[in-house]
Amino acid sequence: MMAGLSQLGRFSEPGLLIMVALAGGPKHGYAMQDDIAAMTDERPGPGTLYGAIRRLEEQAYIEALAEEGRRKPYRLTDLGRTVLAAELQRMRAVSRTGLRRLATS
Amino acid sequence: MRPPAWLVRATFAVYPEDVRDRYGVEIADLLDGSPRPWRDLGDVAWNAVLERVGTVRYGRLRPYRRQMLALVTFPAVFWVALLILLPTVAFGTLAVGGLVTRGRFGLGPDVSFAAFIPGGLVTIGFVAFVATQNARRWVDSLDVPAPAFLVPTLLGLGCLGVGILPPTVLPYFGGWATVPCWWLMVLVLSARYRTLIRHGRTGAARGLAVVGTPAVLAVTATVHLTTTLFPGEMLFWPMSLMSVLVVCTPFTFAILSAVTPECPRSARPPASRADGP
Repeated sequence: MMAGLSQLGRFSEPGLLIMVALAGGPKHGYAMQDDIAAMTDERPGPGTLYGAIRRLEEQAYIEALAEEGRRKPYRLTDLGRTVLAAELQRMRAVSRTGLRRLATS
Repeated sequence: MRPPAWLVRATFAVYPEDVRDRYGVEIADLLDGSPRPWRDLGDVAWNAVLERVGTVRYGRLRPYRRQMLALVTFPAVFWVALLILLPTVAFGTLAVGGLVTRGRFGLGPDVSFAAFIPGGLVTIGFVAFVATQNARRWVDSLDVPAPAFLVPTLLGLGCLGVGILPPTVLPYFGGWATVPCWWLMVLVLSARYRTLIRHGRTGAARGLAVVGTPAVLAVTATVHLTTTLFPGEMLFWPMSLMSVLVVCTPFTFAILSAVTPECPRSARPPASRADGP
């Protein structure tokens, strides 16, 4: 059974944002920070970012590519794509239900 | 203004070594180019502490309950030793002084101060010496996983236990808020100390302990005195929580030195990034 992102504990939200950032293609830390800042108006700190990256790597949701100088790009694995798609579907269902209830109340 | 390099190094030293080796360069790279370096350093420090705490899991600790209990108990042992020795030495000094000077060296505010403070320092030094000398002998009873985190943490908990004794036990023993300050400083120094020993840099590790011990004591003494200061405090300083922390600082380094396997410098791969950024 697929475990999902909730098992990342306090890193589940930064983990999700990193996976969304990587859904557009491989990125290194800087590019991930920029992308997440553009999505959320909040730039994650390096400690939080790499705490989440470490856990995503442990779960084999993302993997490191060959280093480019001091920077190492990461990309989503096939398992990561499946987990991300399932998580976004779940969020869409929750969001749709919540918005519908707000509109009718 | 960007954070000084020593502060960044000290922060990275808190990360467990495997995490630092794997991600240290990348985190340092982001920190270098950060538009808000102080906020990001705080974020790195917080996550480094959490990663360090995360290396300690209860299941892994279960076989070490006896050792952990011993470490928590040591501050109380030091405290009892000091409680017995300090008045003995002070009154012994007064008695010898009285005999030598044929009664002119007796009880009085100045004389008591003269008898108590130097005698107190010698006694604390003696207890610290005995503790550090025996750390190697007790090492089988004190060896715990993640010692750079657990040794200062458990000793700090023991100090907290001693420090929160009701004031009726010892009126000048307050200032337990000093312990978190001591713990944080010793935690950072312990991580660095252990890394240096592991890398065969025992000289640098000893230097760190020699410089770090008085630095820790200076900072914690300042915090202690500003949080507990009242007229009697200076005279009874040797009987305060500070004296237990004074003993615990070199004791921590002695235990870490005994439990850390040393890797000769020549045995390390030349391209190693184990020192981190």
